Amino acid sequence: MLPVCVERRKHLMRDTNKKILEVRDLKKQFKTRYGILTAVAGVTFQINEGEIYGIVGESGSGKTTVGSMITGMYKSDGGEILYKGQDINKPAVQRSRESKRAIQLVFQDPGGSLNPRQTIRQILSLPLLLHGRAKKGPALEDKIVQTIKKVGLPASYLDKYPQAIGGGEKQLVCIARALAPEPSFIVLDEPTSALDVSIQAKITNKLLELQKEFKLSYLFITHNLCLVRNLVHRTAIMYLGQLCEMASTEDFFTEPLHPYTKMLLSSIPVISEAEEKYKPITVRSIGEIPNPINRPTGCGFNTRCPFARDICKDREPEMIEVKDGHFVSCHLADT
Amino acid sequence: MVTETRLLEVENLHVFYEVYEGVLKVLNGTNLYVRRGEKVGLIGEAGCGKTTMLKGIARILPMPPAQIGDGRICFKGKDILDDEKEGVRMVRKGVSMIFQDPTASLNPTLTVRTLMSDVLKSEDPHMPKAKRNASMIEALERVAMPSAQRVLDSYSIQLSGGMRQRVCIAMALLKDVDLLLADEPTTSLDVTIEEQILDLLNDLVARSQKSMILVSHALGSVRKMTDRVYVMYAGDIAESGPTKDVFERPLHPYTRGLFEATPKLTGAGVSDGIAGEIPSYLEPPEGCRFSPRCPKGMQVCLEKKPPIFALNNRREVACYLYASNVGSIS
Repeated sequence: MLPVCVERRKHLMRDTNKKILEVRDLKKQFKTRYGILTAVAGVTFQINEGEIYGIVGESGSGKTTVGSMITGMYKSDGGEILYKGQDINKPAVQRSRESKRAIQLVFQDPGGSLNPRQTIRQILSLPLLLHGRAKKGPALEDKIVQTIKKVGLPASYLDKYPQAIGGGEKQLVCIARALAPEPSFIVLDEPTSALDVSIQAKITNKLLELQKEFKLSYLFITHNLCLVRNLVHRTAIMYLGQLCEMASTEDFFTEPLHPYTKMLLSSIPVISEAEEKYKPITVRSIGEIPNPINRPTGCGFNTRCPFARDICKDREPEMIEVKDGHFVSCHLADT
Repeated sequence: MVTETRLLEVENLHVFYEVYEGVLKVLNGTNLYVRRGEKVGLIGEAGCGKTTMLKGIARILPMPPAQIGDGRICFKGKDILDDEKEGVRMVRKGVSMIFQDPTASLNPTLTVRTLMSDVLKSEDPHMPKAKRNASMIEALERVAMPSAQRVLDSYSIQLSGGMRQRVCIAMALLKDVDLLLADEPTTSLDVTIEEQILDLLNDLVARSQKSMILVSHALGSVRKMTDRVYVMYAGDIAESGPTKDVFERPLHPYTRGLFEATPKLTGAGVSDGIAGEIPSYLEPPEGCRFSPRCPKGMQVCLEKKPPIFALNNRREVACYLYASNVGSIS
């Protein structure tokens, strides 16, 4: 069953590759009418240069909040965010210009994140001007054309308004806007979940292509495990504001350890017989994600976990490294 | 148990919307049938007319702007478009529907009790209160609702997404209907909740011998749930056949493109999808509506709408590539 040789190291402190982003014990709480909502309860992970890192979780798990804190849209309530070793754990206005340029964001809904009253030329020119990539004039025009060509759209699109183009093309414009200041790290918050399958594929492949071409690093936030399988190098599973499991995508799909990961994997509806073989473990899904205002004590997943024991209700599990680069936060893996 | 009697038969249905810009020709001679006890899937991307089709069957299309042109919808052997009043009455009695967004389809100002008893009152206004309560509790328990009594006195906003959808399913099954229409019942839910809801639906439909049409763009859930499947593109049925068969051997170039573009658990990346986007319904392509995007398009595809070619084993495909294969696949 679970590997016995659990190697206890001071967790997550390895230094193999060059890290572009480090997040340590990041926390975020929101005050609501009903009490304090703990959206992110201590999240630690690192992203290497040139890596696509996936955070997977259900709605309400806090994955978007993590992305928002990294990009500086929310101020965190504790913890550290390091970009190339430099502390950027502060709101965007207080961050260095360089780190703001280097970290960009693509939102889920392309329709909602493009100003309907601006042409695509206007939309793309703002980040170029703000980050000093070009001065007004012909140089700017050149840059804009270059930027839109990066995502494979023709320059004739520049004078169109967002509502005149399709959903997939809108998302390409959003990606072009993120690419405009020549970032090194992009947070992709469910970039394809609002799109149809046939268009989603195009965007996915474009993202992969751009990542290779410009040596970008991505934080890919999603709930689609099939997409993770095809795109992401390392994956973290998030549940109720905490990470349950982190592993390379390969390990993650062949040897999932956390009961929640198993539940997720066994509940994916797949479209071919060949894929059914990739879901070896059947953990029937029960219950629903608890209210983050009223977190269960101990392990956040204990209310739905079919293997829960007494200790799971009493004590929060620690993140431990079970295998090289495979971390899990579960009392079952601890023994 | 699937029997041969056709509970529902849609023949050559045309639905169009009259809007400011002109006429949106959405359904363009669509055919579909559901046998008794059968679970039928309807796959298609956003804007392909799946919901228009369901609403047409349930007679809840907003008219205007929608208008039903030619075509027949036969329910239990009677054309429900024939006699307006009688048709609507038959559908109200025999068909119920589950909508995509449970939040939007439950009135937030009414308790679940009011919502559910309205359904029962429409059936029998003189049903005693005790009996009504008992059947509401029973319906909620059937959908595996924890603490049914408490839920009955809650407002929909006090429930979670999964519980709301359970309430919707319970309401849809309160009456003894013959046909259940499920319009993307799990799209707004998380994958672990989706599994629970689909298992529940499957169980309820199988146990009560009802027929169901499941509309979805989530290919996996249709594969898991249904016996037979229709693939829809831009208001036309592209192909249909037994679910297992269609998923193993898609025939229409659109279905193939769709399956190839779906990211799979086996890894190995995804194809580049299908070039282009769904055409405008204001001026849809003359011949096959998929022809502008089709990698195998021919001259004839641009000129004439392909008829439905019936192959063996209940497979049907509307594509000229299979014109010579009528009665067989190979």
